[in-house]
Amino acid sequence: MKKALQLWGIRKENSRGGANTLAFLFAVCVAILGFSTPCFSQELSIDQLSFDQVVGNVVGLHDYLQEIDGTDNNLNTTLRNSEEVLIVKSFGFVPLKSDNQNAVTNSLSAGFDGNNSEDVRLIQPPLNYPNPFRQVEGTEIRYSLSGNADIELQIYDMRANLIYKQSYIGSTNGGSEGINYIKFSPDTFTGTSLSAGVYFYFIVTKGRVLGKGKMAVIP
Amino acid sequence: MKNYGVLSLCLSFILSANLVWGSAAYFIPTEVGTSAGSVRLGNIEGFSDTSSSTLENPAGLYRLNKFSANLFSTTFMEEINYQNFSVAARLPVGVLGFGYMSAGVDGIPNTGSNGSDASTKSFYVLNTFSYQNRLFKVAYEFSQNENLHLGFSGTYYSTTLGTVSGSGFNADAGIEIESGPLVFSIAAKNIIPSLKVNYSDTTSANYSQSEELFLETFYGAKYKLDEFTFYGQIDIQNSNKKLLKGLAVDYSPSFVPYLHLSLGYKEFVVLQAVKNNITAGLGLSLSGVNFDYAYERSDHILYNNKHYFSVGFSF
Repeated sequence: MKKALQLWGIRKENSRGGANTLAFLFAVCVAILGFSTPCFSQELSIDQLSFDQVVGNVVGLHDYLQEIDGTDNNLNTTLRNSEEVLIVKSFGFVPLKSDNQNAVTNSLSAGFDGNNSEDVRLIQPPLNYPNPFRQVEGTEIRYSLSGNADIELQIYDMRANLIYKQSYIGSTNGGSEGINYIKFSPDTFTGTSLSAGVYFYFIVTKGRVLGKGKMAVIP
Repeated sequence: MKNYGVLSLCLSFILSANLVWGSAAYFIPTEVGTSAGSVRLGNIEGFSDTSSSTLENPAGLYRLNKFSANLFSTTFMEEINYQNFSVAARLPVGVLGFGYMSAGVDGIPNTGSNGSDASTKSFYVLNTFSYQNRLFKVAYEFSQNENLHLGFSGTYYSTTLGTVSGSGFNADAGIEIESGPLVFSIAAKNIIPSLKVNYSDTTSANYSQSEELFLETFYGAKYKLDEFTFYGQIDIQNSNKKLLKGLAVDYSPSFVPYLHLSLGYKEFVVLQAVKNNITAGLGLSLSGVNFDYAYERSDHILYNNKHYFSVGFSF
């Protein structure tokens, strides 16, 4: 079962002498940022996530990681979800408007993507059958995904023009874990007769190309 | 009077041919462009100074002095290779040109299937095959006088897709009228509507299909004003009943007369939709050697840049 978790607004009142701690926390945050850069490069789909809230008093990143890990492993967290990806959404330090001018709040938002399309891959290269095929008879593209993901199928002609685009929601045919079949009927291309030649299809998730194939149309 | 008679005959033939509409289209590789020089000008055809006029408007061959040769190449999506080659020479009776263009894709899987139930069936690769689309053109141009130029060409089309192959023939006609800084170009491609590309399959004697060679007409104008040259074109495609516009400007600074910088706007059809794009590029012309580069953006998710190169020489 995929585990999901999020924490917002961890607060710690730092004393005037806590500069070293602050520097340490900052270094840890930078390290986390460095390791999780790919996660930041793409927008997290909140609507696909399911989070459990961590509540209670946690102090700094150490306690935060300890809380979600359940063990004190000195920041060497081994937390994993089924996709083995911990996504750090954001973190930062914000000065508190209080009498204590050195008090800061550090915040970190993290979670496990229950539908982590960043890690989804094709188990086998996509193929269409029959190939070559006549447009009036149609063809079928088959591909196998390692997990659920929102998939977009794009088809280009020989001038590199996009002639067809169709989206498939994760867990439905086209975007579900395992084998997916996409059928092309004669009407798929808005009733237009395709010229004989080669067409290129791309399996895409969130702007990332998972795989591509070539289909040949004969008259 | 005789000149006007020939001109009227050609114009009426081209315009009447425009009334013939069809329904299915053969992919002609020159659709991507005939040279980087024309692509950087928004795919405006008919104003080339080189032998690539053979693939555009054969009447444009009148600009040749004695001899010209041109090479053009581009690759799309790291898969489709477009190449063409043209030569033309001036003879005592006019200008004769020869052009060849090809588009090719390798490694296309020929697939088979096991099972019929969705839960158990699987697809597999039997072998791979290639796609080759070629055209050969022979063009002839003659000038009625120093202002009126006529051209004709014959085109042989050939396509191979695995075991399926097709071939066909058609003809082009063109007129160019020069009047000082203004040049008009009219060209009609595939002017014989009854001729098609017919296909057969080496593995099936019963297989017999065809694709239409649709008429396409180009009406273009070029006007030179000091260091700038302005271009405009209307392209009527019978295959989709669309009227496509093209505009371009070419700048050749007087202090570097061998350099050409250009910007173009072109419209093109994707399925039934008219789209547009901006093209840009440069040309170098040094001692009869021409180099052209053209660039345009693509909406492809991975390969969103298109680059075109041409090299040629004329003397």
